[in-house]
Amino acid sequence: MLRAKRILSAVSTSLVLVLAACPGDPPPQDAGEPDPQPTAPADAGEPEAPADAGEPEAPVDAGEPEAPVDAGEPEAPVDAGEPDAPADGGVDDAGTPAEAGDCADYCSAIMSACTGDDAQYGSEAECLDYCSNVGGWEAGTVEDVDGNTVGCREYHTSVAATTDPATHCAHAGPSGGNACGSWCEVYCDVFDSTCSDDAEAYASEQACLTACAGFPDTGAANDVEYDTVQCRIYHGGAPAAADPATHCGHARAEATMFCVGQPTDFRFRDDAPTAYTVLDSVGMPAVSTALIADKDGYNLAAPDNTAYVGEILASLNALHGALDDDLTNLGLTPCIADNPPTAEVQCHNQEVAPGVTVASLIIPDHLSIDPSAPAGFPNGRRLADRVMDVTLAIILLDLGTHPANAFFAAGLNPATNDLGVEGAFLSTFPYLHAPHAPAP
Amino acid sequence: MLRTLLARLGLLTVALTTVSSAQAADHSDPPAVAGDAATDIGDLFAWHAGPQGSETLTVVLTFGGPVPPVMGQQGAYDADTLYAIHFDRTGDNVANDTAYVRFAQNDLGDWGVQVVGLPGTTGPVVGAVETVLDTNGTKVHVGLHDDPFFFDLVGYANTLSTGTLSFTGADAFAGQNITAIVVEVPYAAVQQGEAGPVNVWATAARIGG
Repeated sequence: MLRAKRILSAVSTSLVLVLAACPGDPPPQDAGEPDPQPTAPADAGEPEAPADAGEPEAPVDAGEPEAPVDAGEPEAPVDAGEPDAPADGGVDDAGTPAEAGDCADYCSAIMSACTGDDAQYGSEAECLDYCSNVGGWEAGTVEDVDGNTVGCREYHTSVAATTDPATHCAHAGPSGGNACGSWCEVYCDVFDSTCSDDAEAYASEQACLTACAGFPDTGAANDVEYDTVQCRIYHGGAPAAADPATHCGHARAEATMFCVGQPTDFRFRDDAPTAYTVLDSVGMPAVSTALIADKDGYNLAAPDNTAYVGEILASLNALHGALDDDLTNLGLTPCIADNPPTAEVQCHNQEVAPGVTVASLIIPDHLSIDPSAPAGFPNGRRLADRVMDVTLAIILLDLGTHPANAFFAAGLNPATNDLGVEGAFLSTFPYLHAPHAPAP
Repeated sequence: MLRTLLARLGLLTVALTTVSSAQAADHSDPPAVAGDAATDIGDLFAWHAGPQGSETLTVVLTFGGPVPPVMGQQGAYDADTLYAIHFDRTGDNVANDTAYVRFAQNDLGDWGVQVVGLPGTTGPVVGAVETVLDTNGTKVHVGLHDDPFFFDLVGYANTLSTGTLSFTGADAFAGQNITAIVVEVPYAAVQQGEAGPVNVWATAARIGG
């Protein structure tokens, strides 16, 4: 039933006029309005809705011989390629009524004038279907330079045949290109034609125009995606005519798919964090990760590494076994890393700062920032902090004998980053230096 | 990278103690991210700055490096990787806030970044990479940068392999680049009135698994 109502509205406002003005047209053009009883409420599931769109009679028109005749029609003001004001009256200079717009003439002409990248229809049959059944266009006259009419499209087709088809074919096409009807006039006419039964159909033409005024018009004619009026014209056209249940939604103010977003929108995944698998983790630099063999398991457990304490201590012990003789030869006093500890000076129980033991820095594995104390590793970690020297010192040296910066003067590691004055980073966000350029 | 390098320390140390000599053949930290640049975290930096009462907390997370510079180089952005920067203000090692960082391209092929849950923000921070996104003083930036880390990797490796201190002071990271996520938030937005230190750690995760 809804279908019938929809067709009636479209037909009554435009198609009938077109047909009335074109007595030579074949009757199959009327196929869009087969329901003489629009009041029948029970046909909700009527099958003819999809059938209309693909109506087979269109190809009959394709071979119409009058097409070439139109191509040469002399009355179109092709000279300037611009609209001429006087044409609107429907009466030409000689005082005779201008020829009414005609779908067959229009489609024949545009299929030859607008081809390749400028093509507006997939076939002449599609054009005829759109012109007669989909667009909701009035006939107008072939001297129309604007207005959402068949005649206006015929006029712009005639211009496109000789001048700048890239521009004028869009005017002549289904969207009107903001020349044959404003974007919103075209949108509202086509939506009313194809989607008047949609759940979100507009209460009135004015309601549609008001809503449409809020659509971005930043697209181009025949766009099939993004939140624009052009996209909505496309989806509300032939696709909606073929399958309104599926495609009218795309043409709504709050479009479902396709006519949403902008090309500049970043398409981030929206999966929940639980849909990802943790592969790496980081907290305290160096120490904890350094002393772990089962890194995958360790990363999954972050930051709780209490299960790895035994392994950490064992690794620490091994490191001391290899290096303590060198430290002693350098005049340095190593801390004792026995596992279990047997001496009072145990590496992991040493205090780096009052109340901050080495162990507390390692377990759990995170950076801890106390704003009441000066910034600087291991109170957090700044870009320029010499974390390697400090890390080596606090896990290797007796901190009762040596300060945590005991290695600073030893020349073990570079003191600064390779860029910036004396290794300084930038003073303002984001602080990091620009990337290195490849050598010329 | 520091963590990668020190991983070798751990592995070599373990090898020395004969706990698992098979592990010594591994060259990547951790094994699960071998060859997966986007999830291979380099370093984590976090520090407080500014006058008392209006301190900021800045976090830098690097990944996908170090790599030598090449023509046309861009960051190791990957739409299937999720970075999480965790903030614990109550000292229980459970994050009170987590900033999730994702990358994606738009239909023009440009890369953008999205940060959800950043302390001090009420909605996602979204914008192009290689820019500063400033939301009322809460700042986000991602981009390719000089690797800020400096360290005598060669000397360190030699020390471990020989059992003798073998540092020369050379910076193995000089001239190298890495991709960085940088965020800066009001410290108070993280602390939320708690008195103790704020703990920070980060993870990199890949979709599925």
